[in-house]
Amino acid sequence: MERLDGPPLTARRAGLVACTQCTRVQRPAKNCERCAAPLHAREYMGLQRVWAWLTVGLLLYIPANTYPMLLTSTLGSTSASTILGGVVELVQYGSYFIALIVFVASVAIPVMKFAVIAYLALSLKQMVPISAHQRLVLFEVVEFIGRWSMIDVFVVAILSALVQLGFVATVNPGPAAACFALSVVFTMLSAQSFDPRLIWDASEETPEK
Amino acid sequence: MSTPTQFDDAALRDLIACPRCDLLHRSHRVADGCVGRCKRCHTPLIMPRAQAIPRIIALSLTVLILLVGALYFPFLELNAGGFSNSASLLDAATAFNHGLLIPLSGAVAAFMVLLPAVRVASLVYALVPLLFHQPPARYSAYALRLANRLRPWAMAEIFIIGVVVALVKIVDLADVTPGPAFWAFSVMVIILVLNDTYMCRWTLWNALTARR
Amino acid sequence: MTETPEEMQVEDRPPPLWRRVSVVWLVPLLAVVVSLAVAWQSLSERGVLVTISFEETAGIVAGKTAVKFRDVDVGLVEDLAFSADLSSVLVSARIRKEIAPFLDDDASFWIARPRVSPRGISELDTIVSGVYIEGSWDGTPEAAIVDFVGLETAPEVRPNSAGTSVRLSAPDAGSLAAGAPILFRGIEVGQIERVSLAETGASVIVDAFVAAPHDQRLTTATRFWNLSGFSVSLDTSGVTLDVDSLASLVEGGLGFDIVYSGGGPIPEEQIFQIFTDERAARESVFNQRLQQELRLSIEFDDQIQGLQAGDPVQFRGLRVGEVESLTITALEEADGSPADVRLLTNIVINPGRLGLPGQAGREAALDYIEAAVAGGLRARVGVTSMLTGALVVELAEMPEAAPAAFLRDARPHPQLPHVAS
Repeated sequence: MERLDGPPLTARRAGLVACTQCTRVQRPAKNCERCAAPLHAREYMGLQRVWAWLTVGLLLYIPANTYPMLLTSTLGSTSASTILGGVVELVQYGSYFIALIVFVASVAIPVMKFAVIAYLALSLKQMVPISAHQRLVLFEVVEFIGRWSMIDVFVVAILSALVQLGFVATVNPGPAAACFALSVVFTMLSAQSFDPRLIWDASEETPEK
Repeated sequence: MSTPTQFDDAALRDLIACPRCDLLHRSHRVADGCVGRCKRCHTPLIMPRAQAIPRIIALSLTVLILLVGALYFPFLELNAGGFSNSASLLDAATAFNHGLLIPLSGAVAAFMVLLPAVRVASLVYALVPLLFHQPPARYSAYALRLANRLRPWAMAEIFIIGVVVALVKIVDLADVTPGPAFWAFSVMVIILVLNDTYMCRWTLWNALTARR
Repeated sequence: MTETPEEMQVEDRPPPLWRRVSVVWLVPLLAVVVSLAVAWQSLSERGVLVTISFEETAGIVAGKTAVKFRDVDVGLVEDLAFSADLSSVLVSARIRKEIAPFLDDDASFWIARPRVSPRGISELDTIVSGVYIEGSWDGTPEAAIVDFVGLETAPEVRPNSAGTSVRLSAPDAGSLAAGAPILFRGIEVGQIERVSLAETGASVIVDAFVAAPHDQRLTTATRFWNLSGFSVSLDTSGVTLDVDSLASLVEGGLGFDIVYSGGGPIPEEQIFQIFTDERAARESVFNQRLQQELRLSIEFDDQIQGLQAGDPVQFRGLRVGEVESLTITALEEADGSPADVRLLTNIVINPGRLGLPGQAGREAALDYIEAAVAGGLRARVGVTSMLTGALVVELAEMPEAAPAAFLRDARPHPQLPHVAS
């Protein structure tokens, strides 16, 4: 692709807008002329939505960990296990690999997402030691990995559907499943609301270190 | 900041802006199988594939057929010491059916089954007229937009990995036999991923609007 | 007229179909074919739907409850519905295709639930695993049917087991109950299936089952006796205490043996008598009870204290029968006046021993007795042994006795006149 001379010519600088849905470059208008999607030069209201969704996701993550995720009842005795409790049990049981997967998917990834999104949002205003490029990579990673946190919710769903052996063994989902699913959804929305183009705008305006 | 170059309407058609860093590039058709990347951030901009449209349609139809099969056939069967239980795909979707968790049930069903189905269905709807060299159907633009927006929310592949994790979790305690639906769903997921590799937005939208 | 040859009209030939259509269309085609193949296969392997009606279906869950045969799953309950008049529940179950032909009219179904019986507790695992429907049928497929009426209680003996069912009768059930064992020389060879009251109400009918190959010992020479309890007898040879075993003391049961050689196969409607103990069974041979029986009753109006069932009936010093039971009857008078309560002694005698020619029918026997009564035949109670005080009913010929009638049509048995002892 050819690059035009001068400081990087972004669409915005050229007074144009690229539709996020169909990629057509056009003059600013309310809706895209090709696909009728709403047209914004940059994500609406900047970072407000990012912070809002992120906060909700973070708040929901707390009950997701305090309430039980799985309610197991074997031969009459019920036991409730939270996310972390389940991981500990798996380690005690000897299934290290599965414990690792659950830990990564349900604890490491969501926490990392909160941290990274917050960091990226803050980086737009502050100076940060990493380059725009690296921040973009971070963003792409977060956006891709975010949905994989839902794995735990699906595991709970399939176990609850499958282990229904009446009195002998029954598994039912706990309230943490709903909280966790919602937390993942909101974090995904938060990442989606973050317009990566803002990273480059910021790096253009503030000289990179 | 220098004065932005003025572009006339015709020239706009030849431009493409990077979705990640907004850098303007001149756009032109790229050969099938090649990738046109952004100069600054290397994000792929245009990456057409040979015969993308018929292939997307064919693969999307396959996904729908396999999905119907996966819903109808038995999915998993559990056997433990003489007790047995079998679960279908819908059982997994409606596992959250006590009180407060009911909305979650709908969400899970959506992620697993509904949204992937809607996504491929809209793709088929939008692209079939193009296959027969007809003008696009009404609402094709909405359909293609919908397909694009639903992409992160169609979690079929995450579901099947979740099932595998669950199976490994209880393999010591019980005997689980996957039924035909399990295999149908797994193949469906593979085909979904394959399908995505043929989706170059710029190429598809061009194809859609070229015939208008 | 043209001079030069014409130019051909050149058209672009469209590429052949196989080049125009991408090979990728094989993929959905394959998917359709495979899906249809799997669907077809599962449909053709589907079992046969069978309807079983039960009065109660405690614990049956549609979609979960299994139908088992010899402890192997052969089907699954699909649906529960009510019969048209709401009197029973129709259970629809899908039975495996290869089993369905064997479901003919000798197939039976029942619900396996936890049961407590004298033999112990059975089917305990259904508490944990849930009830299931158990079925039993033989290995010969006849005309297959699909509507069944389920048994309300699990049968004591599995139907279609190899063996023979026998019917026995006893004066009272005593400790005999369904499930009690039948022992042959101490080894369990069968079970009592059912204990019920006879139509006349004067005795108890016991349905029992003897398993193969021991049912070969069931001949006309076989005698059954009651094992439960113990017997004490006091006679000239001394006191004997007879206890079979502690188990039979508690549990009850029947024993049997072939008491003489030369018995033949048992006839269809044979009803065996249950003797009170082994000795009585063996001794009965000499009584030849089974050949002919005539039941009569006597209303002794003086004290018959001490007379009990089993006491012999004698004629001319020879045993001709025995006392079967002592019953109280209150029958309404013919003219409708309130009934009197009477104490009847029911005896059963072998008319042959009275001098009646053999093979004579019941009417002939009654005629004979009527003539004998007219000639002075009376019943009275006597004492056989001063030492033991054992009583006997004596049919004495007393030509000089006061005239009395033989009540031929009395209920429950024809009534003999009596004299004071």
